[in-house]
Amino acid sequence: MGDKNLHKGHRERIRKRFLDSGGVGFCEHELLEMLLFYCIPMSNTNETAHRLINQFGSIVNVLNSDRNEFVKIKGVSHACADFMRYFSDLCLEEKALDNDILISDKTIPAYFAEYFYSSAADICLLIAVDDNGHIHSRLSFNIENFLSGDINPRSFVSLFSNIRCNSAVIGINHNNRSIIPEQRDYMLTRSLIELLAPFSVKVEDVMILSNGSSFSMKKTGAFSFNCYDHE
Amino acid sequence: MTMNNFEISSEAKREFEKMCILLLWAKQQDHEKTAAALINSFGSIRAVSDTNFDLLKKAFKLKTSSMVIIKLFISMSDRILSGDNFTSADKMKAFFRSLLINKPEETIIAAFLDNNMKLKKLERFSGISGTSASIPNKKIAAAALESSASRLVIAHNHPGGSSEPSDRDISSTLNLMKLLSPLDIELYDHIIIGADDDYSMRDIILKNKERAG
Repeated sequence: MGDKNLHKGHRERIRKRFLDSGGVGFCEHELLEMLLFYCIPMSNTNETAHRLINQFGSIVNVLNSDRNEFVKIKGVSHACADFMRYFSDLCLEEKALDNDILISDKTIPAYFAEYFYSSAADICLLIAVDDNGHIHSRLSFNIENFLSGDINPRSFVSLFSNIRCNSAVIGINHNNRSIIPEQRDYMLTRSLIELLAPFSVKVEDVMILSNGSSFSMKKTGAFSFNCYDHE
Repeated sequence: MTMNNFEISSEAKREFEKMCILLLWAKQQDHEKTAAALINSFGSIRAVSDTNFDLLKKAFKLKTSSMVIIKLFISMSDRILSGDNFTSADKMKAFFRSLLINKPEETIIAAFLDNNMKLKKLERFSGISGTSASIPNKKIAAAALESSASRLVIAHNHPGGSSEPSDRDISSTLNLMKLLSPLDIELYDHIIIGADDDYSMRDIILKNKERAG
């Protein structure tokens, strides 16, 4: 029982650290260690993760490895091999999203369109942009949750804790509705600008996406971002 | 709440199914109901992964282990699908070999790419046990259009056999080329993964292009 609690405590701690840090600073064997939690119950998966990375070179290679080679590693069972293969097959179904893009008027509509692809949900995506014009981090949220005050404002502000991150771009998914801004889109825009301005974060644009088309509130003049400049 | 209560797209249904699997692995209570609520609210696993966890804990009673596997899933997907897998013939072969080598039956995988050979989407078309998999040309063309791909690489395996293309492999490849050409989509390569080696049909494709051009 003592051993079980030890592993449980370790697993809870590493999971919490992973969520709190957003995965930043985690090396491949730690990510693999956590993945192995789901197929190796109540056991130290750290050493197994190290052995797997040493054998196959990277976590991607582990996921794509030949099953017969995989089960030769100490600490790995056939059930574990099946889990990893199934997990890898599921991963392949995801749409590739290019997170290394340089944010521009041309790239950002396409990025939002890819992100919201076929989603019917009323969600928004806030992108924190670094000084080099690349995506630093993202936060997705349901627009109703935001307007109801269900989301802690700290979640937005913390995206910009990196001092080289002072710009934001927001995408709003209209799914199959018209891309013309709705009342709540204006409310959202105003609220986010006012929330972020005291932290010297500028909302560069708010884009509405629907059926592959995009509408820039800045370019169209639908919203005057300039009057919120605090410079 | 379930995903059956209202009209949903096939993509949303598949997102729900994948979310169910992830939550099942995480031993999330009421995993089906939670998966439905999450996909209804956020639309995709990726959007759930990018959402504030405190909100998910409060509104959906999402466990820590559930959020971790969701984030790991997105992180691993991005790692597998990104990178320079399509920047050279050898890398393409290695990539498809890792995906197809363990398949007991012929399986076709299509990689939809942009002009810079960056992957937009992968799609798998299972073969039929005991017979050769024929290339589902119309399905592949439709998927290419849907993903706005400008290039396409397909691969299939010859389980336990040589990677040499059969006459059927060659004719169906050329038919696919003809189908894609008016859509301005280039069939860049067709790779065959054999038991011990791989074969690229790029030369055959280029020769045919020259003849047609």
